[in-house]
Amino acid sequence: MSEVIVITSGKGGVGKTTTTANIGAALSLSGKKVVMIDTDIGLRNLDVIMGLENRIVYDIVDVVENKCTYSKAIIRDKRFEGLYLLPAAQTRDKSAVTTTQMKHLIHKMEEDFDYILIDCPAGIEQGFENAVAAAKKAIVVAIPEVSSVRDADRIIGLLEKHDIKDIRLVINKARPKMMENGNMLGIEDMLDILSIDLLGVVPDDEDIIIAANKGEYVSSLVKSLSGQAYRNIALRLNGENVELLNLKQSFWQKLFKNKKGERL
Amino acid sequence: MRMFFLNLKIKSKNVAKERLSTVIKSDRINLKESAIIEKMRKEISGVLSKYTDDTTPEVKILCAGGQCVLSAQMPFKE
Repeated sequence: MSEVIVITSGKGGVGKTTTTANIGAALSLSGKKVVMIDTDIGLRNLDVIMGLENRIVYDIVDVVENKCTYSKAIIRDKRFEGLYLLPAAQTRDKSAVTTTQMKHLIHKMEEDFDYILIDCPAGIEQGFENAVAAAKKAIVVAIPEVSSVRDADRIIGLLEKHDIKDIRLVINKARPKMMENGNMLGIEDMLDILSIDLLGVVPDDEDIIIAANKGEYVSSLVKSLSGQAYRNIALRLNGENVELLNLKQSFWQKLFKNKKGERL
Repeated sequence: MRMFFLNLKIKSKNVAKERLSTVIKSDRINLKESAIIEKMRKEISGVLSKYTDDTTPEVKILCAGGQCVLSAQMPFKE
């Protein structure tokens, strides 16, 4: 049986899709078979982040409408062993899929994968309902800003209402210097407010933007700090005890990091 | 000097622009035409599936002068 995890946040623009793609890639690097499902129907983006936009033929709506099997619709990322995407439809809206259809689809997929990662759209409407319908665990992505933390708190309440007990926090776009100077909410502040377990902290890193522009995964870059943060998150999901990264890089680390863009 | 320019890396910004221009062309036009392109992709995949095991061939779209051309490149079955 697979782990079915929804990645959500409530607020848009905090990095749900990037987090989904990079955790998925990191899990597949650790030898797991992973499928990522984009549930943002009408505004799909996971395919672009993964660099698979030209390979979409069938999508999630085709699958739930029985126009094709899910195995025909999923796209295998040829760069990784065991990494797949089930894309969202771009020409339909969130009402094209119901929660019952979603549960049925994920139930069918559970036998074939170690991890099913569901990329949830922003908001708390039908798209959110579909994304959480079959999830057993949740990752809440939040950035150290008041608006994001407020929305994350609301989302945690809704996830608990959906009987999802295992909810963990990923703090994204963290700036250690600002946190240290007291100009940004700190990790402890966010954990105090949200009262859920911390899964990982990802620094605000230009490597993430560069990789996403190219349709690559920062988690596969050997010397990238954010890549290491995503790989650590994957290890923690696999049950390993990994300490939090030191997000502050020395001058020499910054100078020599990822010079050749080495990949795992 | 020439060697210096030859060794310049392609900026990720340029890669992003190129990729987005393809995606946006098929998305933005309007839902009706976008749905036609989706249908064409399925037809191409249907035809190509006779010659390959890949169910999701890479299909690129080139749009110019009000016309769109879809092209696919994929390995054939041995």
